Amino acid sequence: MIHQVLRIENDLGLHARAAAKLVRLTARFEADIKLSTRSPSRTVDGKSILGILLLAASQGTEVEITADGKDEQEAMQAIVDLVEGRFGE
Amino acid sequence: MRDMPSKKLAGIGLSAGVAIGTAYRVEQKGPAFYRLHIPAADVPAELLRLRKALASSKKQLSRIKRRFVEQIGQEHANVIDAHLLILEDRKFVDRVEEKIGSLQESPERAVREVAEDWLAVYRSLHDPFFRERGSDLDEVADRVVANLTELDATREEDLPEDLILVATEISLSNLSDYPLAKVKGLLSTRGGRTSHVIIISRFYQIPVVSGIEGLEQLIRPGDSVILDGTEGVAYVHPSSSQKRDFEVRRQTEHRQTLVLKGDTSPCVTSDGRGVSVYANTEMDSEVSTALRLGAEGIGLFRSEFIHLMSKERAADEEEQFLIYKNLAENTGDRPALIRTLDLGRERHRSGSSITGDDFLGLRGIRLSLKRPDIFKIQVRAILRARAHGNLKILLPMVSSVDELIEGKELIREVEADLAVGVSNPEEPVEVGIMIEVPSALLILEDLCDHADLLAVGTNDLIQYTLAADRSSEEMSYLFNPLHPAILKSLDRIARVAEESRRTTFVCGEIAAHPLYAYLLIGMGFQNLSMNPFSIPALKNAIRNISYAEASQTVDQLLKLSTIKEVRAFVDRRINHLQPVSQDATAALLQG
Repeated sequence: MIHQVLRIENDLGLHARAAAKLVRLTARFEADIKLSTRSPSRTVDGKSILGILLLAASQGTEVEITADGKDEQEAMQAIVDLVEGRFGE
Repeated sequence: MRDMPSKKLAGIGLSAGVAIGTAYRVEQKGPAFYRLHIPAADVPAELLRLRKALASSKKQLSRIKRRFVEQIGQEHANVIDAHLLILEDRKFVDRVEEKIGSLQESPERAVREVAEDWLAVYRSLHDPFFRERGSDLDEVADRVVANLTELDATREEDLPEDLILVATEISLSNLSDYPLAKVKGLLSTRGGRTSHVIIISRFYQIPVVSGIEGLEQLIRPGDSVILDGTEGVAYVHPSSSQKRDFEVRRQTEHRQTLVLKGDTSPCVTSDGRGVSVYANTEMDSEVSTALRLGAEGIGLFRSEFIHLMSKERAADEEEQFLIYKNLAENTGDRPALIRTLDLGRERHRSGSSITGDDFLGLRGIRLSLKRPDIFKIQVRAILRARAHGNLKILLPMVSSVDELIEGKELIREVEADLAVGVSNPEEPVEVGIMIEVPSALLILEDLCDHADLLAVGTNDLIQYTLAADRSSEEMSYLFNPLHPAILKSLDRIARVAEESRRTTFVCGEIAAHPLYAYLLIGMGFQNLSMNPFSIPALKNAIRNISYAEASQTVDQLLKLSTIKEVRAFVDRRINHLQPVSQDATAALLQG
């Protein structure tokens, strides 16, 4: 199991379309993926659009990503690329 | 058979105008009763029923999305995207299947319960944008439940042509289930779940009456209904004389929102910034209507029509003078900006002595400088009529300072001629330019040294900036005011205009759209000119706009680099644009 904390840098935060991109990405991996925010403390499934939107992560929010499974390294790298690339926006 | 007695239902009007049609119930919550438990033996069949309902829901939503893109625009289609993704959410679907499989709940109950669990959490969110996503889930759940019982099987061609949609609450996706051309009015107990519905209804001038309790008992499907969105009332089983009266009113209003009332009070944003609203017209006879509707002057008087109406050649000086005189007398002290002849592609007239060239060719000021004889006749007519009002001149298609200087020289020549004999105001006429060619934008500071005022022709500016023919369907994806290049161009115009203290009008069609008006006001524009019939509704929208907020929004928008991002941002903010406040509604009703 691996963890990494990422800051949401794109202007709109994890809004509907960014969340959609994330869901489409995470769905490709076997690993269990979780997203957590500290305040309010909340952990959601990284493969669920309803879950991700529930984080209400606006610009600047720090989100901890947890990946657990065979392809956790690849999954984490892909997520980091997406978030750091501001969801390609 | 005796006629049913006519019933009057009082509510509040959320979108003005009169509609006459046939009541049609929008099923919102699915059937009120369904099985709660299923026998263990039915589980496989019930799971299959769920999957079928999910599949039909996806199909419907994809169809709606296509229709949205075609009829309303990509921005609103994104709302439907979110719905599609919810249908695919394993967290949601797995939990529903689990409830059916292990708890033996009926699919209807399972869907509603799982949705309610999520909704409870969404309702607790602080950020209104994310909280709103809960209502998306609610709509999706309603759709799946409706499909479970196949309530949504109505085929479009079976629908009456004059639908009055009746529902406890009408959602955007409800509205989009029906062909917009057939929807004549909306009647509901509560206002739209999101103000999207109201914005779209107003934009398409579909009357809406809301706030009527117990609609299920009061109206049956197929009942004849009259909706008066201006007064906020509905009549069920109207008498034939009522129908006749309203039909006359409907035709008179011809869906022109608030035409009967107009709105001549001054317009300021919610935080006190004044915005003046003007009319675009092409006939002097339209001016009094425009003023009654609330125009504070004529921001753009297109003079092409005069020429096209004139029989064989360009209209002569006397013919033109009478029209401009009438215009000047009607507007009085209020400004009226006459755009000199701008025959272009759309106005091509074969056999005429004036023929507009292609849109990259000889048109506007270019043609005027080539044919100073025709130009000077028009200028003479305008300058003579100026004695009767506050007329100004706009030169179209200016792409260089040279053209402006030459054009002004011709105008000053005519002015000098007229000074002898004819009564002529002492002050030279104000000469402005249309900003519609990208080169003008690049040399705007220099143009401002010579131009008294500016008028932005947004349609042409967009077309020329993006090199995209606006009549081409293939280009429509690009022909978009939300293109970052267009936003940056408009913003630059606003800034230069302010620095050089030039009064600037925005005269394109976009000024009439609440969303774009919001952005234009945020950029700093204070003079918007539009189709006269859009004025009352737009004034109302502007009063709900906060300049400070709009200007912040614009600052953020200008940082975005893709059309997609801009749209996403606008999607997120659109709910702020036209809050349907009770005060605004009350003000409308009081006129």
